[in-house]
Parts: sequence; C-alpha cells; structure tokens
Amino acid sequence: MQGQVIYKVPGGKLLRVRVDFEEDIIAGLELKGDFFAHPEESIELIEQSLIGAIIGPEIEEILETLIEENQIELYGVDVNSIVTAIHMARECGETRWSSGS
Amino acid sequence: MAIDEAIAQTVSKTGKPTIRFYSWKPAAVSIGYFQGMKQEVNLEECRNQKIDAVRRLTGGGAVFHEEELTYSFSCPIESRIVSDNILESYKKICGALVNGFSEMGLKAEFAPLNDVVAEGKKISGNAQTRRFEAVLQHGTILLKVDVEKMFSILRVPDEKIKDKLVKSVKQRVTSLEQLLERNVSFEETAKAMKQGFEQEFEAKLVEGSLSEEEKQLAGKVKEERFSKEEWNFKR
Repeated sequence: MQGQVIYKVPGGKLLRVRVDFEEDIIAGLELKGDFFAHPEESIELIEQSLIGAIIGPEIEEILETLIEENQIELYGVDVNSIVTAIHMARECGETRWSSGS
Repeated sequence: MAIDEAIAQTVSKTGKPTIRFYSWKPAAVSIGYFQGMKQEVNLEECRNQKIDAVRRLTGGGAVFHEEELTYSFSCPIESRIVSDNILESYKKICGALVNGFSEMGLKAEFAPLNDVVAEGKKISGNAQTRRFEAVLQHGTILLKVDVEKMFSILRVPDEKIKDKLVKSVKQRVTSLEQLLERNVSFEETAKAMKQGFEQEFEAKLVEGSLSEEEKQLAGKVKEERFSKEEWNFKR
C-alpha cells in the first residue's frame, strides 16, 4: 500500500511525504518540501533510516538517534512533523492536503 | 547557480568573502534542494515561455526569477564572518539587505527563518547551505512581481484552491516597484545592497570579476550538475 500526504507543518514549511507500506512496515519513503536540512544530503540518510521500521514509537526513536548522531539540523520541519505525516499517509492511503493545525 | 557554486568552492582557498549581484536571462524557476521538480514546476509552460528550470544547492521553496536582483554571499566557514549558528547567520546576512532597503528609504526587517519583509509583506527570500568549507547564501529581491505569471509556472499543492492561493500571495508578497511607487532598476538596487553589506560587515567591497579558476569551475559545475537531468530531477 502507498500513502501520500501534503502536510503544512504548524509554524513551519510544507512537507510532502510518500510512504510505501508492507503491512506495518515502511518499505519506501520520500520526504520532499520547502524545508531546510543541514547538511542537505542527510535527507537521504533520514529516508533510508526508516526503511524496515515498524509503524509506531520506533520511528521517532530512529529519527532522534540519527539526527543526534549525525548532527543534522532541520528547519521548517522536525521529527514530530515527519512522524505525524507518516501516520497521516498510513491513514489516508492517498494524497491529502492538511493544514496541520 | 553554477557560478554561485564555483565561488563557494573557491572562497575557502582564496579566503576572500565574495558577494555577487546578478539577474536571470532567460527567466528561470529554481526549486529547493528537497523539492520535486515535477510537483513544483509546470514544465510544459516553461517550454512554452522559454523559461529555464533548475534545482538549487539550497533548501527552501520554488522561486520564479524574472524582474529581480539576485545576490549570493560566500565566505569561508573558518573566517567566522558569520555565526556557526544557522539562524544567527541568516539574521546577519539578511541584516545587510535590511540596511540596503534602508538606503532606498524603506523600513524592512528580517522575518525568520529566511525572509525579509517590508510593510508586512515579503520582499526577499533567502536560502543557505554550508559545504565546500564555505557558507553560501543566496536570495532574491523583487524589483517587480507578476503573481499570475509566477503561478503559470509554479504548481500549487491543490489546484482547487489556486485562485485563493494567488490572492493570498498577492497580499503577502511585494516588490520595490510597489513599495516605492516607481520603476526601480537593477543598478540602483545593487548599489544600495552593496552599501548595506558594507555597513553590516564593516567592510569595503572591492568590485571585481570572476577569476579564471572560477570561470572554469563554473563551466565544469554547469556541465556536471546544473545542466544534468540526474540533478534537476533527482527528487
């Protein structure tokens, strides 16, 4: 199953998330949008880190560890909003547009 | 884009912070590093209107570049001319633009993370990256704005609310022409911004042109990155 969502991060930027799910596991992930991440290449690291993760608290833990270990700085988007968007993509199963507020 | 990268690549070797003022010919749309080209840009309309489309090294949103002054600021990270803190460094570099607007008789202010606003409306958008041991920030200053044309090129997240979005952008974005109620040239704006940078960094800018090394590097970067579909369509 694939889920897509366009999520306006409250007080932040626009996050476009596409997730491929195999039951409760993330099989593919794409994070796009007008946010900032330093270094930029870390976005691929973030996407890859969640492949194989089970939908649930594990996602947040993986992201927080990765961001801390690699000193990634995110602006206009954060761990919470990525997790929220992934959950929304899971629920929607199609492109939905959310103001996030 | 290739020249901005070439300067940033060179600046840590020369140790000379560099500010560049430029415009786009033909008009172009640039998208942020993390954006999807096909999602953000109406490529068919770009072909019809002979508008280029390119992915930036920096994050942020899609920008339609036509009647504007674009600047790039590059300095070696280790020069500590700007803070290691990204927010602080945006504030410093955008502070130069605020000074420049002041030279033109306008009261503007930095609006974090990456905008400058005047009379409550956005007049400048900015984006920064740190690579090649350098800080590279580039941004736009709108001389004129044509929101309808902009949205003939830029896609919106939801076509159903396009009219509403166009209306909202018209209310939130302004230009030097609108603020000063007269035509404002690239040269006049560049002169004011030069003074703005000089004030903010307490430095005297020396006019120059690209070095041979920068020219060659720009050609190489254009060929290997910015003209390649692998780069422009990578997301």
